[in-house]
Amino acid sequence: MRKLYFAVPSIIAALSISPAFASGGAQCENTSGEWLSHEAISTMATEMGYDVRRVETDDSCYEVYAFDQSGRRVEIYMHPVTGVVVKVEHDS
Amino acid sequence: MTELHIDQATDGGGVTPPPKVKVWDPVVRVFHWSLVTAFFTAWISAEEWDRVHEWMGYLVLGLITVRILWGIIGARHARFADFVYRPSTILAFLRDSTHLRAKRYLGHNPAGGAMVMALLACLAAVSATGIMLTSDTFWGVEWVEELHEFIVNLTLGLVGLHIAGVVVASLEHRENLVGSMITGWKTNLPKR
Ligand code: HEM
Repeated sequence: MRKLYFAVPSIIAALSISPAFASGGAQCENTSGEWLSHEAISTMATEMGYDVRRVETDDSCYEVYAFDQSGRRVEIYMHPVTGVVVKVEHDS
Repeated sequence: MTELHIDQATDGGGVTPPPKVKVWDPVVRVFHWSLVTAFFTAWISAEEWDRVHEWMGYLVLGLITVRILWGIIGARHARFADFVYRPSTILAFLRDSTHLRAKRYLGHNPAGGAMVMALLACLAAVSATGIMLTSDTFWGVEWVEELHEFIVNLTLGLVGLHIAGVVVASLEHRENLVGSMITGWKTNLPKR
């Protein structure tokens, strides 16, 4: 019985380090040039067909919270100097 | 008087050891250590591992929901009625604690009980704001994210005080409260 008290937390811990869960964030390289403004990034994402909610700096990239054309919540990681899309993450 | 007590039989020295009492039932113990694990995992996975972070958040919400129900219908020392005290009692207890002469309680002491309620309330607010962040309505809305983070920091502060309180009470009454939260047992010491 005593084992049970440790089993539950251990299972949670084991699940959480399982690689199947890995996701999140992106890296942008060569970001030393002049950064695009939030407005410019927002405009670029809008032109790609996204419904933009917010632009934020995340580590080395811009992170854009938006809805895609089918209305799904997405986080678009864009290069701050070139505006190239580095990664698109779908929220669940 | 030929009756032999188990205590005496195993003790061998002829002195009856102080009686042990079961204070924390399995629900409370599994809840506590699962909560610690889930909360900590959610904290380290934040902004790194969204999936893990969200699952841990749902788990925290599930755990506190069960605990709140258990606080109403559960075992004796698990019930809110057993450890929710009036503010004046809590303040008096804290005052006594600063002089290390606070009364010993078998269940949660008045300050500990207030801490339990504060932690449950904060964790509920963290879960609620977290779920809001996964909805279309609040997608990318900054104030929700800031509120979520603010309450998390508040919770971390409370956890620090919680652990400090456990250490102080353990030293004050020379007992291992952390051990009791693992095994469920406490020593029913006579009042000092
Ligand atoms: C490793 C760090 C921790 C230790 C050693 C610890 C230890 C304890 C102990 C000994 C108790 C029983 C207090 C008493 O005797 O009255 C307790 C209760 C409690 N702790 Fe912790 N705790 C830790 C972390 C946390 C965290 C991170 C949280 C919440 C996020 C938390 C929430 C609670 C709650 C809600 C209770 C009340 C349990 C119940 O009645 O169901 N603890 N803790």
